[in-house]
Amino acid sequence: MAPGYCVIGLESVGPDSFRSVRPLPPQRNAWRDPFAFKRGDYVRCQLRAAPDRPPHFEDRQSDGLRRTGGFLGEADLVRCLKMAEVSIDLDGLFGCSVQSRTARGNCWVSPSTGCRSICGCVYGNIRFRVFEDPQGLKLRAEMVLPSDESLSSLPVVDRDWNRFLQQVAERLGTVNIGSRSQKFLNGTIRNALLDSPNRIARIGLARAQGDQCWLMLDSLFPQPTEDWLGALSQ
Amino acid sequence: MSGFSDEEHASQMVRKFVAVELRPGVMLPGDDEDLVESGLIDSMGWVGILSALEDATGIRNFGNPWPEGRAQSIRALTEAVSEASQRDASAGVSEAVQDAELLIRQVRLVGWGYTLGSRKIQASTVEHECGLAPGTISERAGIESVCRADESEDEVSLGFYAAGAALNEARVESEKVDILVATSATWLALPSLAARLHARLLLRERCAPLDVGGACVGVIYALATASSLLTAEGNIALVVASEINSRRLAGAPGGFRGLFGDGACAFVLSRSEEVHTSQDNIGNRLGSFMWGCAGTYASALRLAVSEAGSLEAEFKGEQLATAAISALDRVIHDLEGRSGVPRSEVNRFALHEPNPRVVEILAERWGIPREKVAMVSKQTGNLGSVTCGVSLYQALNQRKADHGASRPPVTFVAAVGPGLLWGGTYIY
Repeated sequence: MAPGYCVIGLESVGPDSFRSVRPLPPQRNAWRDPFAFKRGDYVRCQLRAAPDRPPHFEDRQSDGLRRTGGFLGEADLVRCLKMAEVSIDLDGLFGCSVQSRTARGNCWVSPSTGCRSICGCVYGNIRFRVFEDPQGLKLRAEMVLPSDESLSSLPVVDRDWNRFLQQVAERLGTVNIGSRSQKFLNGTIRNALLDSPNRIARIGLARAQGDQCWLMLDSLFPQPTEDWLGALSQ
Repeated sequence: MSGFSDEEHASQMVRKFVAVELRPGVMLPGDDEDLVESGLIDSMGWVGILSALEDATGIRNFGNPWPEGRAQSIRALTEAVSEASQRDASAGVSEAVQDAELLIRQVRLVGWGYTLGSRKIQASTVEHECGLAPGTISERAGIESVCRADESEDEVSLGFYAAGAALNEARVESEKVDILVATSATWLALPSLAARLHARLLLRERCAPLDVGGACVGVIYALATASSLLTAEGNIALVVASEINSRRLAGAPGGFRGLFGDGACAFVLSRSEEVHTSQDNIGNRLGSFMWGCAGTYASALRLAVSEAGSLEAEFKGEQLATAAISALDRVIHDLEGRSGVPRSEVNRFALHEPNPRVVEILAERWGIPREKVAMVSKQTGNLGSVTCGVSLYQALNQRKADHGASRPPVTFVAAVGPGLLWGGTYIY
């Protein structure tokens, strides 16, 4: 897949009710840099049906995104996300069973059985793993749903969390960056996440590869802040 | 441990996991082809292979970090498995040499935590709600208030919080826990409490989850189980007791259910000298355990769920109180013999408290100052197995103050439960 951004929006469908939509840029499948918007921005766009590619039923063809000047802070955004698609258990995430070949391996759903491609969950616990390979640092998360079912190895594709990991790594120097970053994330940062009232994760499905749509951690709230980096120097 | 130093064996395993990550219809590449550079798999697939190998071999953190300059190929993965297996094998030899020494080392408590139901209800409100005469709970039992869980709290959430506090105190990451022992008289669901806590705490799959019974003695049984298992295998055990009596006893007679509150406690046990060697720890070794059961008093307290689903309770308060005092007395007598420390010289007592009055009677009978007994139930109500745990929590914190005396501090731990079960141990 070409590098780019997958953008998910919330569309109001009634009082206290939202649904996710995935506006696609004109003539492309993903938004490219420079992408002028940030999380929580109100945007206006014309949406029409996109080619049917189950389980990505949220896809909409857009004519581009236009700024309205409105913006939702994190607490309000999380409140809205909790009024959109949310599941307390694995089967409820995408309306079908989540599969994995190995105990700690990647998880997927079958495109023919999934009824959606994005869903939120208020996680009960989280642990990070940082993998260090020649291509750079890779962030993974292990997460517990309210049902106490767990997702053991979700690739974190949230842009802001990956940027945060890079900032952490830069501050830690050059030795054992992976394991030291992981320790920091699983200490101070994990505690901040678990203490936060804005705790929610949005889990998405990648485009189908054969009969598999891989699960990814699209957005993790609360979002990392500059203040958290301050804990590194303490 | 792994045992994959045989390269052929390792190679077969690597091929199997690489094949899993290849796109459907793609042939397995040659041994030296770089899987990522060639575009056969992406970084997600690479992590999938490393995770699968880690799980299959038991090699912790396998391939992370992957050395710069080393190809990401089948051959390189096979070599990495073999190298790590050989390293583990060498470490195993030195572990075996140390084993005899480790086995005679005592298991220590290195972390403890607790939490209570978040709603505090005054005794007068409980008496009114349970249809009891004013003073039944406050005066006769000596309970001033009870702590009850709110709607959002259950055995898992309270146990999770207590376990987190204990692990933080021990400075042990949850991934290091080898054994989890849970106890609860109020959790009547499947998966079991240990399984649910195992998941919530993100413990390793290879960490063993066990549930033990015992009701009010449960925390002592759990400590005994964890301690025994640790002498055979593993370095870190986590014990969690969690009770939501307010829900389970909802249909019981008011004079019984009014005595109870909700809470959870947790303890981290270690047999490794590497964990928590600071001076703050003051030994905290677990002594031998003793227990028993006197069926004569079995009918003093019986609880059962009827076929219709309602709770049937048989509760003979006076008989139970007399039997509890007698059994606790017996436990303390036995602990004196086992520890060689007379009760008059024991620094702290961590006891199950059917109610505060029972503890006051015991303290008077034993001739020990009341401040040596952590009084928990006065403010929380009887927390079932958690009462003794919270009492132990307070005693362990007090031990730091006791340190520096001519003799290392000693704590007696004792509890009784329906059956009539009893159990005890000492901390030194």
